[in-house]
Order: sequence, then structure tokens, then C-alpha cells
Amino acid sequence: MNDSHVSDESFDAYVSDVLDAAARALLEAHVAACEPCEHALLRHARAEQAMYELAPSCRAARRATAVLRTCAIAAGLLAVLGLGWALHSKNPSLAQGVDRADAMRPAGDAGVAALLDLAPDHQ
Amino acid sequence: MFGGLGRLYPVESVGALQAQMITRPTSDRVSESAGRLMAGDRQAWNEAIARHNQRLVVALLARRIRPDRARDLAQEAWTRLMEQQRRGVLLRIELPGLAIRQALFLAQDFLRAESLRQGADESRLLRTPSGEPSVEQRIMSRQMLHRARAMIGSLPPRNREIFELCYDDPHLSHASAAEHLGVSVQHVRQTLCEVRKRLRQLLKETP
Repeated sequence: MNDSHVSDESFDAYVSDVLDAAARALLEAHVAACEPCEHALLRHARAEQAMYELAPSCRAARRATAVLRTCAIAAGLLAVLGLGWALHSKNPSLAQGVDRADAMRPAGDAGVAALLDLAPDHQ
Repeated sequence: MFGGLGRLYPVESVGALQAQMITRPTSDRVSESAGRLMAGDRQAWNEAIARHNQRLVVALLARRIRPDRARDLAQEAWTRLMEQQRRGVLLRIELPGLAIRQALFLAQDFLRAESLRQGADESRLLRTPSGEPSVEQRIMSRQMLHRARAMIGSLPPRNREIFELCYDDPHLSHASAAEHLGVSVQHVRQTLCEVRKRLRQLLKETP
């Protein structure tokens, strides 16, 4: 606090309760007699109050974003797994890792059937 | 009216109480403290007052109550709560929210009574809210909330963490927050000062 007005640092210390009792009383006495400082204290008090009101919602919003991000990753993984499972159901030879060389190798009717199944457009 | 309340928390004991409180884990302390408050433990009440009284005062100041009256009303709020606890009408005690609500209720009552008693001219001197929105109304306006959140979101992650940690848990001291985050108390305070400054600017800009 200087001779004329209370500094922002002092107001900060006051609203965040780090002033000792004597300094607090001094500040309050000054504010009671000084209109600009009274307005300044009001602004500081409002900002402090707003911080208490903002913090829970900011933290909740950040948590929600984190949860959404995790869900998106999980959904992506499930989609990949689902696609793999669908391919496996439709054509077990693909997903079971059947050696393509085996599939391509002429092996009688079974080999031809596999080729046709793999490339139906070429029938 | 409020004269005897200074006995509740002698000024010289506040520093010692706060020093004791920051050395213990928050969650343990809060649950234990709530039980002691419900049991009417005077020491627990003194600790709660030492920790949260300024929060009540600031809430009242933000409603345009003068500092001296804000301090009186805050003390009256604590007294009322203690009386309610003694009568067994409190089902649970969640601080500082319960005390703040009590203080704001008293402030409304007080301003209304003073306004009626002293007439319009003098009520102006009491700085009653004159149609100007309260800080809650302002902060809850959609635009303001959006801008304030954007401002908080634009903070460096470490600063945002400090802000959220200190202001989401009213039981956590700056020293405990600093210890938890591995930074100095001074750094915590400087960071909070910066956030407060930016928020102050935002409130000033908002019509």
C-alpha cells in the first residue's frame, strides 16, 4: 500500500487472505475513506468470487473433454476390431491368416473356389 | 450485536491454526473436521472460521457490502451456524458453502432493514445493490461464462492446474497446493494473481 492508494498486490493479498490482521485492518480503514480504492476492492472481490465459481465448471469441462477423447479412442478401436470381425465372418480365410500362397496355389476345386471367392469380379 | 464474537477466534491464534491445518491431508481433515463440527467441538469451529472467514467477507464485498459490515455479517453468520448446530437443526455441515449462504442471507436481510429504516438517501450510503447485476448474475450470463472459460482455457496447462486445484478445493491452502504440484508457494500466488488480474479485466470489459 502506498501513500495514496492501495496497490493491486495488496488487494490480491487481502482477498486471498494472506495479509496479517494488522495489514488487513489498515487496508479496510483506508478503503472506508477512499472511494477509488473502494471501487478497486469491489473489482477484486468480484474477480475472486468469480474464480471460485469458475474453477469447478472449468475442471468439469476439462474432465468431460478427457472422457470424450477416451471414448473416441475406444470407439475407434472397437470399429477396427468390428471390421476385422466382420471380415473374418464373411471370409475366414482372410482373418485366419491362411497363407495366400496356399490360396493362390492351384489345389483342385478347393483352390479354384478360394480364388473365385477372393476375386468375384474376375469370374 | 456482534461484539462478543471476537472471542471465537483470537487473531494471534489464526496463524498457528493455519500452520497446523496445512500439514495434514485435505480429505482426511475435511471429513474429520465435519464430524467434529457436528459434535460441537469448539476448536473445530475456530479452525473452520480461521480458514473460511475471509471467503465469506469477500462474498459479501462482491455484493457491495462495506468491509466493516462484511466482517460483522460474516461473524454473525458463524454464530448463527453454531447456534443451529447446538439446536441440532443442521443435518450436515459443508463449509464454506453453508456459511456463505448464511452470510448472504443475513446481508440481504440487513440491507433491506437498513433501507427501510433510513430512507432512500441514506440507503445509498449503504451501497445497496441498485439494479446492477450481482457477480453471480454476471458470471452466469452466457457470454461472460464463455469468455471466462476461454480465458481459463488459454492459460498454460500448469497455470490452469494451479488455478483449478486452489479454487476447486476451498479446503486446500496455497502451501498444500504448492507442495502437491512441486512448486513454490510464491509461484502459486503469482499465478493466481495473474489469473485474477485477467478475470478482473474481463469483468471490467463486460457491460
